[in-house]
Amino acid sequence: MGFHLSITKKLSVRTILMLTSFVLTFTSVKAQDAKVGEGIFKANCTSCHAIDRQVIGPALKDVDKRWADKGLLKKFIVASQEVIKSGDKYAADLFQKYNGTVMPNHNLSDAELDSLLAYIKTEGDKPAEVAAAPAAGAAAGTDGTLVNNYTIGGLILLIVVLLVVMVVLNRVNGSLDRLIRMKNGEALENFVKVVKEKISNFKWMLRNKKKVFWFLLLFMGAFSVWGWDQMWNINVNTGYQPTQPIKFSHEIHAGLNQVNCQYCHSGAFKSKNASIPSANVCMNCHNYVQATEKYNGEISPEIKKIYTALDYNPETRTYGTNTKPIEWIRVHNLPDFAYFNHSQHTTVAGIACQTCHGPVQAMQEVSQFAPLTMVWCINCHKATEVKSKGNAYYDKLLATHEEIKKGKKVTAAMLGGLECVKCHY
Amino acid sequence: MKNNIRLVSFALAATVIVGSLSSCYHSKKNPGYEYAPNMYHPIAYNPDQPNAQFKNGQTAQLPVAGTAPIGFHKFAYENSLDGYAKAGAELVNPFAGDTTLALADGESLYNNFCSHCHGMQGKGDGAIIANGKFPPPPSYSTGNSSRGGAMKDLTDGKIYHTITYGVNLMGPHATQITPEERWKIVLYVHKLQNVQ
Repeated sequence: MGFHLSITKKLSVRTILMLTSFVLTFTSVKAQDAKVGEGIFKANCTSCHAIDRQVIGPALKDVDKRWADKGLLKKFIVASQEVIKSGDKYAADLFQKYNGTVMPNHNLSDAELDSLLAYIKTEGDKPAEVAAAPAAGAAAGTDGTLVNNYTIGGLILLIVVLLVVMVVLNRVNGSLDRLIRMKNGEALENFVKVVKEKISNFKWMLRNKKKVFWFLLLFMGAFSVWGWDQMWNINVNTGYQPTQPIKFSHEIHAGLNQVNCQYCHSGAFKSKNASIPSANVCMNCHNYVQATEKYNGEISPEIKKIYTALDYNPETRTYGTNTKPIEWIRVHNLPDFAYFNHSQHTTVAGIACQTCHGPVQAMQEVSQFAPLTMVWCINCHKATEVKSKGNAYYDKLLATHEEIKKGKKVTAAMLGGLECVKCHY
Repeated sequence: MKNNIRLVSFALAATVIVGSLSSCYHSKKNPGYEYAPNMYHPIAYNPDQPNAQFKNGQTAQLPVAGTAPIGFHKFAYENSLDGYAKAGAELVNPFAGDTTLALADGESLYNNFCSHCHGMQGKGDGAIIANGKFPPPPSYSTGNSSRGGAMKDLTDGKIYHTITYGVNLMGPHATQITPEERWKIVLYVHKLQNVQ
């Protein structure tokens, strides 16, 4: 019996060991698969697909559940058009739904496809917690700000209410006082007397002319200093920070994400104007970036303003015709009588944007940094050395100087004096 | 003596008042006082100004249908797989072989217009990608193109076509980058295709 027991024990121990090892290898193979699949996914799929949101193609979560035939799904990944042409209804509907966007062929082996699908499955099963975590964070964040806003609002409300109570109580007190006085026989004439007394107080001024004189002098002095200050600031708008139609943060775009100034203000290096980007430039990133993680899965209201301006439907990814411009407010204004050319300063002189515009990459809301006055221009022009060496812009000028040094005749025409716009502009 | 004390106290009061007034007064939301605004504001319309003369109320208008600005060259290849293949087979970079000026221009243009996504080395690891804001584009040197083939084998025309029309999540960049600048960028991208 003892022998018997030990055998069964041995057997069962063995089975358990075997089973565990089997399960272990199986799961580790799966994990391994998913890891390989992650690489394949990132190399081949992310430019059009995400796991839990629709991008150019559908969200890939539960893709294995949506396709009845796993073999066909694999075939679709490898050569989607063939599956569509073969007459599979699901594939054809999918193609229709995504505006006939052709998914390119992917030269992946069967094993690679398995790892890819394993990765999508593990990632797709995860999102419940992954999505919940940032959502919870966002919720906590909004809660935090809400609490803050409410506390401030509440305090203000409390103060206002207390003030109102004070005023009301004061008035009640006054009328009660008057009632008592009226009861005591002090009638209206008493009130008239009080008013007369108050008026006679002004006679104090006549009695104290000196004091009044000093007082007036003080105010005149104060207002002339203030006026002087105001006069100096006429047409000088340093610090001007208008509220823009979209809460666009240069700090996030140019600072955190290091998008170069030129990417959006592409005119700054080749034309007079730095140019405000048209909304299609916004869409180069914001066709994907919607900051949904910060707004509980909703598209950011500020990014939505771009979509509204372009009449863009993020669900179908199509543009309508009811477009309207975003009316940005110009921060840096030069007077119309001053000619300024961006490209001359950026491309020729190589001056950084920040020299005149300040640390824009750290500004949440842009404000005017430089005074943009004539003296400001002149001071910089006096101090800046011309970088003529290796600068093609000055080649002709330097060459002409050499000619003059050699004693050759240099005419106005040689310096561009025959250009039409020198006279006809 | 008495007057002096008074004077000093008046002066003090004046500075306090002036200081508080002038510090409160400047609102950042308004540009401030203007003198002779008719000299400051343009009579002609700026391109970004509203304009009642046009139906859509904007100064910047699209060219009339069927016309083209001087110096404008139509890109004769369509935004499709066929157009892409055709451009890839037929187009040759006018700057091909230039290793000095055009390449240097191309590098600076690439760094300004492409690197925040594609990375300084074209490995698909720019700042936006590193911050996790955008899915990574394939690396020029090791990645595969979604339209077939390795990224490092992309030809002049294919790269030019992609910059012009965009592909997948990359938007079209034709409005920001002139054809000449695009060709210079193509030149530099070829260099990045061979980065180790």
